[in-house]
Formats: sequence, C-alpha cells, structure tokens
Amino acid sequence: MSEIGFVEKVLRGKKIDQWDIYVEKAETYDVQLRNFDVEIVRGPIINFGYAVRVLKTKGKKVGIGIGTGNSLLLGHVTKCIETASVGARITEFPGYNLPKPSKYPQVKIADPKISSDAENIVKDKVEELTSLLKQSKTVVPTFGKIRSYNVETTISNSEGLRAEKKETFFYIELALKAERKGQLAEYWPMLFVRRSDDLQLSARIPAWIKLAEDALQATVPKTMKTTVVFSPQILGNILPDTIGFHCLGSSVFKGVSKFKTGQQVGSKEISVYDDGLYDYGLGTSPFDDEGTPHAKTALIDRGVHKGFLYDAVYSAALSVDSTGNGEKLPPYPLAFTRVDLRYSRLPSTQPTNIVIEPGDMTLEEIIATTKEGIYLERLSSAFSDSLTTSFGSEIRNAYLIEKGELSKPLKGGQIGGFMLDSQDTRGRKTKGLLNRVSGISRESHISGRCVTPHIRFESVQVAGK
Amino acid sequence: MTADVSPEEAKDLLSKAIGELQGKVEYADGLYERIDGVSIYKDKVEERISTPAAANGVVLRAYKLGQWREASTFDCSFSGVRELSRRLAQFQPLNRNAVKLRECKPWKTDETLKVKINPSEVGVEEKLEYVRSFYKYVANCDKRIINTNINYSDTIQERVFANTEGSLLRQVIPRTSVFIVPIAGESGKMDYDYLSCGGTAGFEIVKDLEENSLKSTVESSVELLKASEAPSGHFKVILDPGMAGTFAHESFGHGCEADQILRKRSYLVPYLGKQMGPETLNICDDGTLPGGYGSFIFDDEGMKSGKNYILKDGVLTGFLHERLSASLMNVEPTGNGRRESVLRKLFVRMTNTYVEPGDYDLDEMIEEVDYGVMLVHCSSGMEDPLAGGMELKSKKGYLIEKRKIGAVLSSLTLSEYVPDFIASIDALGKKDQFDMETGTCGKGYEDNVPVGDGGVYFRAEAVVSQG
Repeated sequence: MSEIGFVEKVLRGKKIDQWDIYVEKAETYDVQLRNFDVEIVRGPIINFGYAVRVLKTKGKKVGIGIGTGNSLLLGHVTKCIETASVGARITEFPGYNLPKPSKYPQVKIADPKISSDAENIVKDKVEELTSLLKQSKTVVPTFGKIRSYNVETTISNSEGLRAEKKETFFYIELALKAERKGQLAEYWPMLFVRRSDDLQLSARIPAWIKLAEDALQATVPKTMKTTVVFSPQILGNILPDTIGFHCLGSSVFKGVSKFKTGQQVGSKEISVYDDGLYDYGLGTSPFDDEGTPHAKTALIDRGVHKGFLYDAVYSAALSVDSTGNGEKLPPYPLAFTRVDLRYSRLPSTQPTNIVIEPGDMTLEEIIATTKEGIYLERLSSAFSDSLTTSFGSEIRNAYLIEKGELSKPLKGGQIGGFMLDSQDTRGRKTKGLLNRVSGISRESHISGRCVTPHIRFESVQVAGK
Repeated sequence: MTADVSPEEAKDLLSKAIGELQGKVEYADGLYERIDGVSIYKDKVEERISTPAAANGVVLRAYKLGQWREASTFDCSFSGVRELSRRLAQFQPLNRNAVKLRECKPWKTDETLKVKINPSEVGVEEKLEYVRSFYKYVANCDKRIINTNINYSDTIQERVFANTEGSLLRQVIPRTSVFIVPIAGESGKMDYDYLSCGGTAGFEIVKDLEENSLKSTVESSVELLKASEAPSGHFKVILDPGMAGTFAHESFGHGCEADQILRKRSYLVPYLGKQMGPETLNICDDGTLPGGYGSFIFDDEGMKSGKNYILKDGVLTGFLHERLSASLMNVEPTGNGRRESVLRKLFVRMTNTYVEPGDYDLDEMIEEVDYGVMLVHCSSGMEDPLAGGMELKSKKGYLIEKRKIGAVLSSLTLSEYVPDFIASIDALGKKDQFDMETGTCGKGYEDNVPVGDGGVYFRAEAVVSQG
C-alpha cells in the first residue's frame, strides 16, 4: 500500500525513533433478508484507517501512544502522530520489543472467489440459500444477513519490518422459524468462514431446518446434574475467553492466571493449542498485529499446562520470545464477530485460534455411550467470565439423551458452572468442567476463533423447572 | 481523502449528494458521521490511551419499490460521495412491491447536547491523572485487591443528516463513561464487582465520582470472595434497577421492535392490547431522557427522538418503529431508527429503556420472601424475540432466607418465559430507587449502539442458577 509510505515519511521527518504503523482497507457487500424478501442491498461499504504507535523508552519501562485516522492529508497525519507522541510520553507499559523483519509462514486466509467478485458471490449465495429454504414446508427465514469481506492489512515499523496480507471472510446470520398449529420455534445460526464454499449451505440448511422443527416439541429440562455433550459452536464461545484468558502472558504478569506450567489443569483426554496458522481459521494470519510471525503454541498437553502466549509487551516484561499473540481485538464476545475495524485498537495479548485436539470417537459413538444426559446444540449466549471462568446460559436448542440415543428436544432452563477448578466458601476445590471430560469427538469444526470437536462433560449443573 | 470536514461542508456535501438522487429514486437520505474522543485503560501494569474504534464517513441510502440500497465510504470528498450517488441512482430493486414510505414533514436543526464539562476541553493528561487517582484509591482500600481495571471513555459524536424531503439536521452528542473493576484475591480465590457510571454527559461524570462509591465497590468485590455456590431452580427473585433495565430492554424491548413484527418473529404479537402484567407495571423507551446514554435529538433517519410506552398499566400498547416499519404498519415512526456507524445497516433500536417506579420499599419486598434470590449488578442479557425466552446474568446476588438477606452469591443466570415472568411481577420499587445504567446493545450478534437501561427494584419468579 502506498499510503503507509506516506505516513512513514512524515514520521521520519519528525525524527521519531521507535514507531509502527498499521493500515487497514476493507470492502464489504451484504444483502439482508426480511422473510424471503430482500430488504436491503448494501455495498460497496468501503473503509480505510490507519494507526500510528509511537514508543518512548523509560528505563526498563516504555510509553506507548496511538493515534488513528482515515485521512492522509498532511495535517491529519501530523495530528495523529502528535496524539501518539503524547500517549508515549504519559503512559507506561512494563516493556516492549519492536519486532524485527521476519520471514513469514505461508497461510491460507483468502478465497479467490471473494477477492475477485465479492458482490456477485453474495447474490449467488442469497439465491442458493432462499432456494434451499423454499424446499421446507414448515420452516421459513424471518431475517438473514449474508456478507462478504475483503480486508487488506499492512504493518511497518522503525526496525524496517514490512508485513502485508490480503484476506477474505464470509458471514451469515439467519433466524429460521418453524410453525405448526400456531406454535413457534426457532434456530438462529451465525457463522463466519474464510471461503464462500465453506458455508456448505446444501448440507447445513437441512440440518438447521431440522433443529428448528424439533424445537417445536421442546420442553424445559428438570433441575439436575447430568452428562452433557457440548457442540463446537458453544465451545467456540466459552473456551477462548476462559482457557485462553488464563494462558495469556499478560494474565500471568498481572497475577490473575489460574495456570502454572506443569500443573494438571484438566482431564488427561484434553490437549489444547493456540494455532495462528490453522488453515482458514478466523484467527489465522502470517503475523500478528505487531508484525511478529504467527506460530503454533502448546497450551495444555493431556491435561497438563504447557505454555503461555505472549505479545511484544509481555515477552519483553517476562524476558521470553513473543509467540505472535499481539492482536488488535475487542474483548469477547465482540471478538467473535469483528474481523474489520481493527486498526484503531492497541494490540493486547490474545489467543489466535484455540484448537482442541480431536479425540477418537465419532459424535454418534459419544451419544451412544451416554446413558442419560443432554446434547447441547445452542445456548442463548454462553457469555463467560474470564477471571472466574464461570459461565451460564439459557438452553435454546438441545436434546435429552436417553439410553444412548437423542430423544426429546429441550428449550429453556439453564446450564452453567465453571470451566476451570474453583473454590467453595470453605476453601475446598471444586472440579471445573475441564477436569470432567469424558469424551471428545474425532471431527473438529471452526467456531469463531476456536477449532474444536464435540466434548462430553460429566456432572454438569442444569437448572430447570 | 478526508473525513474531517466542517459542519457547513458536511451539510453541503450531503445536500448535493441527495440532490443527485432526487427524482431517480422514491426517497433518499444521507448521513455524515465523525467521532472524536479518547479511551483510557489502566491496571496495575498498563496504561493504555487510544481513540474510539469508530468509522468516520458518509452513508447514502435510496428507496425504491419496497427495497433499500445503500453504500458508504470514508472518503468525504465531493467526488467520493458523488460516486456513491451514481451507484444508487442506477439501483434496480430485486423485489417489486408498491409500499410507499410514509411521508414525513421536513425540518431543520443544528443542536449540541449540553454538558457541564465538555470532555474535549479537558486534556488527556488530566483525564489520565483522574484515572490514576481512582486506581490509587482502590488499590489502597484493601490489601486483598490484587488488581484493578479502570476504563474511561469519552466520545463526541457528530452526525449530519439530509434527505430528499428537505430535512437538513445536525447533532453533536457527547458521551462519557467510567467502568471500575477492583479484583479481589485471597488464598487462590479471585472475584470482582464493578462500578459503572456514564451518560450523555461530560467530564463531570468523573469529577463528581465520590470516594464512597469506590469504597463500596471494593467492599463488594471482597465480599464476593466469600460467595457460596448459587442454588439451582425456580425461585422468587428480586432484580435491582440495572437488572430491571436489562430485562426491560433485552427480554421485553427486543420483542417490541417493529422489524421483528414484520419478520413475524415476535412472541408479543398476540399480546398487543392485552394485560400482560400488573396494572402498576409501566415500561418505556425514551430517547429524550436527560443524561441517558441512549439519548439523542434525532435518529439516523431524521426522526425526532421520543418517549414511547411499550407497556402501560400492564398492557402491551405498541411497538417501536423506524420509517419503513412505520410505513408498512401504517403508524407514525417513533424515532428508533439507529445504526452503529456509517458502515452498518439501520435497524429499529431502543434508546433508554426502563421500568417505571411503583410503591414498594426494598425492605418490604425482601420481608415477603421465604426463600429466593436477589440479583444485583447486571453483567449481560440476551434476547429471544421469537420464543419469549430470556437470559439475564448478574455479577452478584444474595440468597433470601426466612425473609432476610443471606449468603452472598457470585455470577448468576436467570431465565424464564417472558410472559410468565411479567405476569409474576408482584412488587415494584419506589421512585427513590430509580437508576439508569450505561450499556451497548447489539442487534443479534453485531451492530452495537449506546443505550441506557434502568428502573427500580422489582420482584418476580424465575429459574436461577450459577453462571
């Protein structure tokens, strides 16, 4: 991008020693449906923005300031640099190592179809979607969003680093309503993928229709502790913000991580990585938002904690190498759906893709070996508290498991608990869900910034009528 | 390329762009947005100062044969915006229906919401000093405070609007907020409570923050270290004003958004005009509420903000509208057409949603409960407009045993079928309990706009569990 060269020139003219620049261009197209009608066609939605960070060494510590803009007029770039310089003068971080120029790994993050013809791909997918849905007699869409993203990012810094990438995303959100004799039920899927073909609408739509139809017969579960099989989409909400949070170098430095290396933190069945290179993962990239190469880092190996994640601040503070986890992400749950407008945020230590190692059973085998329990497809939100790892949510789409088979659909009531071990009021340790794993499926799915199989947990608290 | 244009230039830019669409589409409008501000984060090792994650620019929108077409750009030059006009002028709708947009009388305004201390006139160093002083006070309050997260944010949002009916509007809305989280830790256990304050207000929000509020938040965080495991089941519950507001917004208000009615996706349709709750229950959405975080002068399609009852005397009275939903349902728009930014679509959105006061003291409410749970300090809520489910989460709670407040509880989830929940409301707190909180609301999984939620304590019945 030529824009970055101009900002670099202004920075050099001001004789600032330590800086980096992050430039983002994004173009999106989307179509939104109201029932089967097109309510709006949007696009191109064009955005451009940049952030300048200025660093000022203060003994062992460092000040870091950021200025952002979307105008390349000299006066605006100058103002942006001045804002960053003031921030560098008055703030304090425990350290910073500006990344040096690196050779970046090859990663798969773009779909040539979206890159070359985003507007028509969106229209084609809308047609495919509506045609598949019209085959159902009981289920209709009440609304839908179908959107493509083309995002270009360039990073440079005063060490001579220059990193560039082009990536694509495709977003779909639908509310599917089933109606029978005046009774209503819904399945409300949301999906982010990198390639339009990964939507796999011909396979997904019939499955989504069945979930909506089954929900017509759903009942509220009773209050109990039982075996629960969690779907990848639920785990994709909970795991990055719980396991991920406690694996951050920043959490260690601030004294709020529950993990110590070598400590048994989960069942022996569970192994977890942070993998910034996973093919077509949402958090995949050749480099993080500071220009450090992405990597694959072991976090938990057969239940034992193995490693932490670092960005340029906390690697310097703790005298270790950055693992390429300096990400310009908002906090969860916003991180789940934000793939553009990253430029204005300061990077912080964040997971890239939390990857759970698959197990050796099929989902069918997991269900067949569950005497009694619940299969959870979708929760209302599954917002979790990263510090305590407490999570809880209303059940939206689920099934009872009886004698190894899916039986009655469930809706309403809640499921909740702690993902990691916690203490009761007498200081006694209570086992978190990660220590109650009894089955992991063989097939993994990308769910937000997580790649995970289905996981079965024992003795999960359900609250109902 | 510039998003930094004067108010008069912005008006001129939009007027010309809209002028080019006049006669080529049934209706067109344009919105220019610029956001300035600062965010400060501090904890025990970091001080971060950044600018708002905002998109400055222009969005143009055209309407023809029942369908919208829109495009937006950060490039606020005449040529950049003319390119959008050119695209919209060629717009061929994919649907064909004869729904005309309901005509609205054009008007003109240029207003700035007044605040006591304009945050843009306070230097960033002074703002940081206040944040540091809060941090220092909290850190020294109790040795069990192991870290404190403080988030300060101010924004000045300028929006200029023009349409083919002749409206030409400009508003400047300042918003300021502070969020303080003292994290307490002891013997390997950690927990926290929070203090949140903010509104369409200025730096007075920070200057007026009292040490007593900080101290009681610290005490509350420390108290949570002794939290018992929450009971699971169906109980009498008492919700604090923040929880009440999140119920009014998430659980009830989303079902009252008229786009959900047009989508045939609201459980509330059969209840229109019917008694849902006690006659003392009133729920209202009010974009004019002074100081409310969701307040504004006009919405993002030029409609004046308004105060709209959605539940009056326990009866569902109506829905919230933007222009298209109002046209399709043949009613007046209610000033609820909002968009997150020029990059995002406009939807029917709430503003400040609250439960109006009743006549109960909090002590009276508690004294009438043998066994139940009081939920305080809302942490999130999620809507279920089709099925009327609800999910509200509180950071803190208390058991109510034998008509008295008992053990403290941490992180609770409440759920229920909303009509059953409303029907079970049997006590509403007095006016002196009324409080509003700041929040952001998404439409589905995205499209976040600032909103206010609040009300008074009330009592009902619901399912509660840990989480």
